[in-house]
Amino acid sequence: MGSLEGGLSFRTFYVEGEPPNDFQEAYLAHLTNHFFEPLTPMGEEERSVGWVPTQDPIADGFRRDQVFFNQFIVFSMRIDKWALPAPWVKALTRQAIAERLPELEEKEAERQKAEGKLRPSAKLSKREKDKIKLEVITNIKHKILPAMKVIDVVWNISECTVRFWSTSQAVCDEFAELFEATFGLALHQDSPFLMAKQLGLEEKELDTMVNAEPWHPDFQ
Amino acid sequence: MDTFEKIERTRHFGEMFLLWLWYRSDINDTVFYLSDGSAVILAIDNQLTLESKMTEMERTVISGGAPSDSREAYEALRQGKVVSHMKLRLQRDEKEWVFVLCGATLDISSLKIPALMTKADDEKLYERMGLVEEVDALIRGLYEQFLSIRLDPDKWKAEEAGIVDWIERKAAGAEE
Repeated sequence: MGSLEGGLSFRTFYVEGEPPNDFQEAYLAHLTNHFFEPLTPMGEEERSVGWVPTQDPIADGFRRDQVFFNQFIVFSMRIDKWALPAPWVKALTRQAIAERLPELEEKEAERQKAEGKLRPSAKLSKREKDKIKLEVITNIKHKILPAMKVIDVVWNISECTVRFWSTSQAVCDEFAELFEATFGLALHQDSPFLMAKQLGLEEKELDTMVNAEPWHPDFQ
Repeated sequence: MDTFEKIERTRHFGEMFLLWLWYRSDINDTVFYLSDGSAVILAIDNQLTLESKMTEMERTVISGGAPSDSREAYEALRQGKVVSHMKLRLQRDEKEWVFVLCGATLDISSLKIPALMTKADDEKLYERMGLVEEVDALIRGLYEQFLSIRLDPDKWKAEEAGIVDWIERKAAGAEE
């Protein structure tokens, strides 16, 4: 969160490109195309990322009045992932294996006997164990909710800037990628160089910046 | 050279900007005049992080009290460490913002804005964003002022000498 309440830690991005005349219509459609898709216990996805309304991150769609506020376009990036309790997965898998072991061993022994082995040694294969573990994980997923992270985005359309309420590099990179895929506009993270460029420094001055070596005090 | 390389090569300007803010705040009794003639008050708050660029992960974090007055901070500068993060208190008129500024990225984190006057959600958004954009504009104004000195060889030479002298004086006489 951040745009409406809560902590204010953010990174600024510059948007390259102009919005179209009918940007509200177009951008609402783009946001809807990349709307967040919830994870399901039976699904194979372990993580899901998409856009949601800031005011209601569990809604199933955007309303225009949730997104457009004069020069601001407001939405959030939602990231869900399964955070499985590892000790439970381990314990329940061990229990499930123990419960099914006699039956599976008996089947395996019979199969080996039928093949003519005199001293059949039935052990549960890794494949069988993995299958049991997957069943256990699916059962756990039916009982828990995925971990959810919601990070606000405020796009000032007149300033061509976007503020994203996270300073984690990995999350910022993922955001920029999703933003570009959604709107077809390139994003550039703010930095000392881009801020200077944004301030209107001339090419010559920017070159001086690029060629300057880091300054260290000389205490001779 | 592509833009990515230019961005990476100039990150040290952000770290130098933090040191310059610290220096100017100290010698000018926290007052800065922006290009429009308005004054802002900028003071180092209770958190200062310095990092060595030579030895990876060598970091000095000074927090609590007045870290910018501690001998440890000036000693770290004397050893060649750069200011990587600084908690600042910025005031203009009746408004005050407190935040941590990162040198390498110029990200703002843990920002505290002046109290809001509005209650309704959309009004709150305009007011919060207005205050965020205002502090951002003030930082840009200060950065512009820094660049005008840093990129002018004569002005920077005088500034360099001032900074070196300041560090030496402070390292010798600052509070423990």
